[in-house]
Amino acid sequence: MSILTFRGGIHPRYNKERTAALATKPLAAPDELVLPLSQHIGAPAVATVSVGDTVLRGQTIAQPGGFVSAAIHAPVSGTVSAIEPRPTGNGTLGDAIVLANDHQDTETSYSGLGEDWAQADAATLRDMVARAGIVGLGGAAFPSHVKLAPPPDRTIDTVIINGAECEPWLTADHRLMLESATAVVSGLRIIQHILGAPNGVIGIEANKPDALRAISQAATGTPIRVVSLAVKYPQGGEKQLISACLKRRVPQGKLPMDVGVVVHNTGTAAAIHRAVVDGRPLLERIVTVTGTAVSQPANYWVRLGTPVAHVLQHCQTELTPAGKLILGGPMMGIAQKHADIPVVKSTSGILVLQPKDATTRPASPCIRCGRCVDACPMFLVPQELGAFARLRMIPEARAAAALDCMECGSCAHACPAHIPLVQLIRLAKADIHAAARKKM
Amino acid sequence: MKEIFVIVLMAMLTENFVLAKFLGICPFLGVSKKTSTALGMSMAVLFVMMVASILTFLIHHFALVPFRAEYLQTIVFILVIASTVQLTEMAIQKMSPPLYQALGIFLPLITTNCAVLGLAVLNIQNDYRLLQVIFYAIGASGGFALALILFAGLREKLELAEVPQAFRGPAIALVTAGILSLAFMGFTGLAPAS
Amino acid sequence: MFTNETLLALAILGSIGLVMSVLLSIGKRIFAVETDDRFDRLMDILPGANCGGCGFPGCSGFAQGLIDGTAKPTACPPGGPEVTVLIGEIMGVKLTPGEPMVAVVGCAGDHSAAPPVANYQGLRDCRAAHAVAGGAKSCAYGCLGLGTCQTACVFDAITITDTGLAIIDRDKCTACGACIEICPRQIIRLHPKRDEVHVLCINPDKPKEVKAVCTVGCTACKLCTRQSERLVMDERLAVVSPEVKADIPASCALVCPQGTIFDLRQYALSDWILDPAARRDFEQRQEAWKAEEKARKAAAREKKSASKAKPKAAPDTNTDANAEPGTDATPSAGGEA
Repeated sequence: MSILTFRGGIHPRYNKERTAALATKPLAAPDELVLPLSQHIGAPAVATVSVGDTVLRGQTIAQPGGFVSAAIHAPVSGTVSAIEPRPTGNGTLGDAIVLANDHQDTETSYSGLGEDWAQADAATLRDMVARAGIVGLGGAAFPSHVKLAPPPDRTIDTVIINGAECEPWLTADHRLMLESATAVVSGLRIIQHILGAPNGVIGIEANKPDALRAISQAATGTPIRVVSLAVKYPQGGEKQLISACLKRRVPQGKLPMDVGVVVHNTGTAAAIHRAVVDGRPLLERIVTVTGTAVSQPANYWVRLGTPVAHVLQHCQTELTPAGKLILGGPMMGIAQKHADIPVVKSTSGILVLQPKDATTRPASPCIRCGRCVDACPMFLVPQELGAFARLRMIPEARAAAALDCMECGSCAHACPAHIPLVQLIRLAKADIHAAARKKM
Repeated sequence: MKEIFVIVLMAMLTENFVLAKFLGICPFLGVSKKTSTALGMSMAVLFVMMVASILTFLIHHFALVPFRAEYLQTIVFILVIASTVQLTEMAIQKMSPPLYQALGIFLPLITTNCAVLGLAVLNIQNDYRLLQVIFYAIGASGGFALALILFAGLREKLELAEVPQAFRGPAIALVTAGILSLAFMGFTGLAPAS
Repeated sequence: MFTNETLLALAILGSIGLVMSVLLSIGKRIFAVETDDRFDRLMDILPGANCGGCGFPGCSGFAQGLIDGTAKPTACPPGGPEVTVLIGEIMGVKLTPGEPMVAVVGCAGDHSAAPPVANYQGLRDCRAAHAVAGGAKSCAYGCLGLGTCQTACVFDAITITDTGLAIIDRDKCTACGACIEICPRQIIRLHPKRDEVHVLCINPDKPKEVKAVCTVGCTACKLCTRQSERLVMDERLAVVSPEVKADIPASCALVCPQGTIFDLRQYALSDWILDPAARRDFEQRQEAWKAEEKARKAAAREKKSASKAKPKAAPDTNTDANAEPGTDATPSAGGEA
């Protein structure tokens, strides 16, 4: 297998060896679970239960609030103790359904299509995915059934499964591919069936040889191509995967479906398999808990809605005020002020860093060294975008394609002057959107 | 032919009016904030230089020399240049109002631009014939345009830089102009050995 | 006197001048341009700050907009009423100037009142800080104090205190709106310049939650609303109503237990925020006023019990009782300064 790659990118220290070989363990469910109604892109879900109701594990407790929305299910059996605003991982208070766990785990009944799912038509399968509340588990949390319903004028010829997991420290997808390889492959075949796409590709970074072997084995007998990707961040970005696996370039401002491709995360594929074959909704996910301040790192099957504080208790962490708590990975995750936030569908990892790893150096002036330009996987000039952002030169920023930036952080990582480029470019993007709204 | 080529090359590079002779610094610094205005200004100066140098040449040879009134050279040249600039101003206001707004005060300032008067006087000093005068004007205004547009490009980049407080504004612009001037000194080797 | 040379020089100059003037007058006819001299006159009277508060790109854009009819003559905040009237004169319309406004930061919670709960490292910009898990401040609605509004203000009207709070100088503020637009928490609001009392808090959460994050936040006790009809409750937050026309007595600020209400008749804003002596003085006056109120209520109660002890109501006694409505436990609306 030859190794495929994309333009730009960086090579951060991965630190995955701490958890890559640890089998995923189920985490004991907490006494209280907090399920935010908005844990996905799109309209928040609408609660279908009221305070005081009893719920079963697997029961739907919130319906999608629109087409681009997702359902929410109870990961435990118990009672609804409240529906109120609670702190979430992006710093705001969001309406959430709070469940009091009765620790009985009484499950509702499930009805899947079994191995004969290929008899069903695309619409039925898509509907099952929607009812299972599946969203992109790679971190974007985009409702999957929407991605499985491209406009009729777009023909999809290839589906790529993202097994790259390029984010440092995280090994959730890696473990999933080792432990549920058949589910991942089956999920890909279901997605291909729904979209009518003849080609299926699973891309895995070369630093996971065991996963490559496991998936290749599960895919024998199918036309699915398993490819080895260069170990580079952000190999897991959609456009980077398409460039590496198929050598196609998605034009600026366009989507993968415009070049006939749809990309899904391995976790999403496995969840789709479970939804279609077993009829099980999305109730839990693998979360890697690691970091320099964690003395017992692990990969856990965590029920959605579990407070991060509860997870940390089980891992012997030392979260000091001067340390850092990150939800997600160190490149694209969000630092938190406290641990009273729930694990949601997009939480792939919980990272706790010691104070010495948490400080950043103050920024110094840009000397046009060009390292950011070398690193950018989207063909942008981050130095220029940062200057436009700082000087609030909005038309110039728009012309320099600031909106194409996927905020991967490669430029900020590469910058020797420690300029906070991602923050600056985010400000430029916000200004561009504000200016566009003003014009309307 | 070779002579014409040498004249143009010399006027544009080795003896660039702005960067080597240091004439016309006022519009050079005043209109070089954006490359688009710099281009417009260069076109205006090209026109003025052409018309003014031909007119002054003709007046010198057919009105001043026969009457042995060469001492009137300076004042007559200024008169001609001022009128030419007035005409150019009216034409630009009619044909391109945005350019007229953008150039602002610097358009009438071409009148006192020493580059134009310098060109007229140099034509007489170097004893050029009419053909040489025309090409000297083309070379001079071409060199002016080159310096102006180059500098405008540099200043657009300077806008994005984090310049130390003491150097912000005209200070860093002048330092950059000096370095650009040094760079143009590198063309000295192109001068013919005469 | 006039030698040959002088005459010759004059002749040459004169003839060249004549030729040139003929050429120029021909040129003027060919290149005649219709200019609207109103543009230049407008540019003369406009402030020239190019702040963009009118919504147009700079003063020249606004002047052109006025001539095109796309700009409202009252749209220039730095120019204020004087410029509005001048614009009217040039454009030939009679204009009534709008009410002068001023921007006020609706937060008094600096680091000592509303301490940060985390250490924010990154771009010193409030919008950037707000984007990282809502910023490091304990209060999710309060001023982050990183100076984004200060950078946006072209009139140098905003200072950031050492304790992390933005303060607007009402004399320099021209209400152009740049700071209001850029504040990620929309803390800055426009108020009429003649308003002297402001509620410096925008936190709408429940009293217990507000108290947990800030010592000067509004806890919706409603005491101030009883001092003046202009102070009304917007759910759980006290606000100065723009519609109601009533006086706001000094007791409004004095009655607030949190010290959220700022009265510029009593203190300067910078003293109120920064000077501990001003706060101590305020606390003393608060105590003094409370003591006075207590005494007044006691006196009113005594008078009421005295009037009850008397036989059936004579007209005078009734009028007396009505004149002092302070018989309920809350301070009356007519409290003195």
